[in-house]
Amino acid sequence: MNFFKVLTILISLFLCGQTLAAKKNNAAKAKWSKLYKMIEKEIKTIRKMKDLGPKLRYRLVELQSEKLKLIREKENIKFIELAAKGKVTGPKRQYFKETLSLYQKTKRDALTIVKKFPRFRYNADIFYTLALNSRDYGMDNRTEHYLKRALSHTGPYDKIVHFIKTALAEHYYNDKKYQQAIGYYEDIVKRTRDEWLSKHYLNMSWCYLKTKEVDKAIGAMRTAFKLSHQKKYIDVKDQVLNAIGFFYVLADRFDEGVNFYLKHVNIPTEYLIKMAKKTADKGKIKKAQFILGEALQNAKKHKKPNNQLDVHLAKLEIYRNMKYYEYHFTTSQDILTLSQNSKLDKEKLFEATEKMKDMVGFLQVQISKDVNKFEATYSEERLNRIISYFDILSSIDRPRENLYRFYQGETYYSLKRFKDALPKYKTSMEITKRVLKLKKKPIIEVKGKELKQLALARQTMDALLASLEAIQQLGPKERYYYTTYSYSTHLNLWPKDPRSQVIYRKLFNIYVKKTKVKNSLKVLNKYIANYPKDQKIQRGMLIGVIDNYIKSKNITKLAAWIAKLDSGFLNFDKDYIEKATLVLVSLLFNEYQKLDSQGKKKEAIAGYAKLYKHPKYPAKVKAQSAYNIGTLYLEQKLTKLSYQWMARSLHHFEEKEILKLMPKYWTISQRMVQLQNFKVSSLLTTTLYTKFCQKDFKLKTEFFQHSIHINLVENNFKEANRLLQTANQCKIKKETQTTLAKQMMAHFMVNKKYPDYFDFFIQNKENPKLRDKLNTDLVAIYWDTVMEQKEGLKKTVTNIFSKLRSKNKGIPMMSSILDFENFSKHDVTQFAPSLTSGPKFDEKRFNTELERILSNTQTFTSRAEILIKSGEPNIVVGTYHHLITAYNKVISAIDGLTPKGMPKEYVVAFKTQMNGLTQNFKGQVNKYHQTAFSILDKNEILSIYNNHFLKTRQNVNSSYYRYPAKKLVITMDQRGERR
Amino acid sequence: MRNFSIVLLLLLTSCGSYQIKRREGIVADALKSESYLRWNNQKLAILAKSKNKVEKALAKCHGGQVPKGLVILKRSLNGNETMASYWNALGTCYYLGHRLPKAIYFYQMALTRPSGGQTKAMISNNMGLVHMKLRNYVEAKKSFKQAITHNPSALTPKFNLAQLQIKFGLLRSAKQYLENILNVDQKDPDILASLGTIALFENNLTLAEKYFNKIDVRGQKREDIAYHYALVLFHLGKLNNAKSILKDQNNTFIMSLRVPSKHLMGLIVERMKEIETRKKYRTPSNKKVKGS
Repeated sequence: MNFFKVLTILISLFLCGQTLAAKKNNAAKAKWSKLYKMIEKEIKTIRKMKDLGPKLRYRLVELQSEKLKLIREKENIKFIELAAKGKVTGPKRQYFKETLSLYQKTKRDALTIVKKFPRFRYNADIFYTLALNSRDYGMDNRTEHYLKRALSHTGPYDKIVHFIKTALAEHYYNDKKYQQAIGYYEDIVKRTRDEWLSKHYLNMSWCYLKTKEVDKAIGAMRTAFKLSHQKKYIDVKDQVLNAIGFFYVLADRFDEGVNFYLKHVNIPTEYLIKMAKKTADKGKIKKAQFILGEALQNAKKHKKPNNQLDVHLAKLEIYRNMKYYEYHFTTSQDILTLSQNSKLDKEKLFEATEKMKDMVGFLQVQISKDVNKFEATYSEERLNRIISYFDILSSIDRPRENLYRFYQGETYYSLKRFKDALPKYKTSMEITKRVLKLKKKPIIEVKGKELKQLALARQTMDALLASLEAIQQLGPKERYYYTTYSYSTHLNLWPKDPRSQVIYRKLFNIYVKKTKVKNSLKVLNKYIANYPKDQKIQRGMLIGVIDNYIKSKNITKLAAWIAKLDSGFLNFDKDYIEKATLVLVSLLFNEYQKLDSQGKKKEAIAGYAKLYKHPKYPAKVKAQSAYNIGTLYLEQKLTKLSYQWMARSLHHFEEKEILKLMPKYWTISQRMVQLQNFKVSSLLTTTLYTKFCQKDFKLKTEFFQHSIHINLVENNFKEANRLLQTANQCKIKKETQTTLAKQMMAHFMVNKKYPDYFDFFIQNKENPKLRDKLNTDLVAIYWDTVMEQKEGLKKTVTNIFSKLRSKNKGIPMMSSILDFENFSKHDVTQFAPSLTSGPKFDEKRFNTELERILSNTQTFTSRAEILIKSGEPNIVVGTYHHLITAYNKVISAIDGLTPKGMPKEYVVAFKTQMNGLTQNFKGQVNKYHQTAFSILDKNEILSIYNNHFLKTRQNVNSSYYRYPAKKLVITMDQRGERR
Repeated sequence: MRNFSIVLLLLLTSCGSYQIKRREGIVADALKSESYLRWNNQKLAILAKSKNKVEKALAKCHGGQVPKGLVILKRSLNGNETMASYWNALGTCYYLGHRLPKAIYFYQMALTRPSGGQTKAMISNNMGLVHMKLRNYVEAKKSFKQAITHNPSALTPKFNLAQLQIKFGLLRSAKQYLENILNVDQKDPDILASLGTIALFENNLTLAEKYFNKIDVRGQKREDIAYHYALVLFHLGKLNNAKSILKDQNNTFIMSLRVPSKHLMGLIVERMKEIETRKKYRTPSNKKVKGS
């Protein structure tokens, strides 16, 4: 906002200024035109008149002279403009043609008047006008002539005489005819009523001086000065003051001159300096020193430091010219002191520095000549003086201090004093850096005037490097110091530079040699940032650093670097990273492995945990630490903790490493089971298997099997099943898959996990490799349901059997079971119907019924025989049991039948006959019983029907209970040694 | 009310899992050299102090401190990895802790370790127990038979197999095994009781009585033995003796024994009353009863 205000004001002022200048110019033109018109008008008016008399004619000459003045003024402006443009060619006269023409005309007119009217009373005035026109416009050197003619036409008391004499005095003065001028001046100064009197004395004083009448000149000058104090006279004090010192010098009246100034001028520095210079020019150095001393005192008295500086500047000039070098130096020192204590005018200070530079330049030339001439023998004093001058200059001219320091360095360099040159160059460089504010901005932002500074920096750097190269006798510490300084500065200022590209390596190597790794890495990082394509070189450099860390066993640094390399830094190849990591791991683990071997497990764990938690260690270290902790916990049989750490190790290890470690993880998992923690073993194995199941790795099949086994033991059937389902994707051999599937089925069977078994069955019922096992298992389940009296489940199984049979997919045993089911459900009461009914025995009906019973029995027996042929122990025994039951029913029905309403003999005969019949049945029953018992005894059949064949069954049936066998059986814990 | 429920629940739970303490006070024991189940608490306590960690662990597990036994085994794993007996012990502890899948797992592991016939017999026998518990009788039989094959002189698998056979009425074979054991110790109550039971099933009541009678008094009081003995005596008509045996029967929380014992006692008392009544009225039916 402020900026716009200021800008607006500036523009306004500029426009105003332009307007004012234009107005002024226009006003001048207008005035000129007005005057010209007025003159022209009057000339026309006069010329219109007939028979002009001398007075009007003289008036016309006067008007033409006025007009001449205007024209001259106009032509002069044009001339100046052309001259300014450099367009003035040829004689000056041609640019004032109008002036000269009018001058000639006026001159002719004037001379015509004098000729026509010789007694005209204003002829003196006419000649005076002609003299002044000749002087101002004529260019014909007729001034003196006309003035003398004018004087000849005057009377003794004519006022014009004084003016003519004055004009003549000035004419002679200007024409350097001082003696003739003095004649007129001495005459005209008598007339005190002339306001120009002071000026006449001044001019007369100069005439005296020129005619070597110095004392008279001083007197006239003092008179002019004195008169100038009166208002009625023109003030020529300045002219007097400017000149009188010179007069006094010429008169060797130095003290008077100084006193004159001190008396009449408050601060006469300017005049005294002039005076002193004149004095010095006369070779009077002491007097000059006196004058300047007085001037200095005066300036000090009035507390005018700039005036003091003026005096010193004069001194510098005088001493330089007069070859007073010692004084020149002390004066320079005085200037320095003054500048340190006072605020001085910049221009003057600049003048001072220029003078000093001139001096020091001179001295440098001198000393270089010495070197050239006398083979490096030079004045030490001179050298010191040069250096001191630059010190002074550095102090006075702060903005250029770097330059002066550089010059100091250059001075030393030229004398091959490189050791002295180095600190000077360094100081110069430091100042330049500060000036360029490089800490706040990058070097590429350096622009404009600052580029000069940058150029100086480059020069300084060249000098530094050249010195370092040239120097031979430099202590190692100093060499290190200046070399690292120069190189690092070079890299900072010109990070992308062909020379920097080399310096990066050089400086890096220097730091590495000195084991200043931090510094070396800084260099490397910078190199990488600026030359990303130099990766090969940079890798080589970094390997040097890493080797250093390895040698010094600097674990922390090594770890940090490996972590960085791991992240892809400089594209190191994996092998190298791997090797470095292994070194790191061995370094890191060495200590804790010792603790471990000493049995200090807890301490070892704590150590590894520290490594694991360390934020800068690479993943490999973390992984290996976690793994080691896991192993140690496992050794301590803390399986849960062991697993937790193993899981962490898996998180950090690379896939390749995990695959390598698979056999070890396998052992660990086994150990976890051995330590009875199935859960963590399962987690570890399943995690690893699931994660890498697409890959080929050692013990893959074992992992697969173990995962399933452990999950089964842990009742984690879903997970076990999931693993089995993914086996194909994981490229597990079909045979293994089948084996595992069968093992899973066996597990379900042994542990009677029938719902899980059925889930499995549904998933795998179409698997041809499992079909046999599925079928036999279903059969086993069926018998178990019979044993356990699980009717619901039994129904499910028989339904499956039925379905399979309908699709011709089952096995013959299933059909047998279904037949047996059907057979066992057969209503045995049909074998014991009411053979008779009604109040009287109906023989016919009895025979029909008996025939039916026998027929049924035969059919039933035939069915039983088929079932017995199946060979399935349960079916065989069960069939016999059902058969015996049915037979007993028949026997019981027949035995218990007594024909009602029949004669006793009939009854006896009937009973005898029936007894014969039942005996057959009983014999058959007995035979079946024996056969069944024999089968089950021989084959040790464990069937639910076995107990039906016990001899004492009828005795213990109602009250018998036997303590369960499963509770009677006992463990075997020893081999049988007596205790 | 809530407290009562909890107490009742605990009672029922304990009753369900209650087993006959066959060790206490019984001197004669044919199987004590093979099975710690045959050891009383005192003996187990001594064994629990053994330097042999596996024995120590087994003592704990058999002493009802399965978790402690498992911890001991866990701690003593080092050096035992290849010992089949170690894994057998671990399986047994899991078996005793009713964690059967793990028991099987460790028995299977035991079987993968190199071992002699005696150890293999132990493992197979114990695997049979798991199958018994899981009511996998066929598998159990296989295991016991395997055990006998591995170590024909081992008694425990024979005893166990006999128990299984008795359950399924395979009395002839069972009797052979038991008689074989009886040769080792004539007074082992379990063997005598088992043989007595077989005789009962074979309807040889006199032989049965003989076997039960051979059992020492303490053994006769055992819940199951007392019941079976009383049953034999009841069928022999020795009602007073039967009643006396049942009366001396150890108190049991095992409902499956308590109920039939009570039932049997009811039958005995009823029969005695019946006899008393018959005696009183001298009914002919009384005489008939005696002969039945």
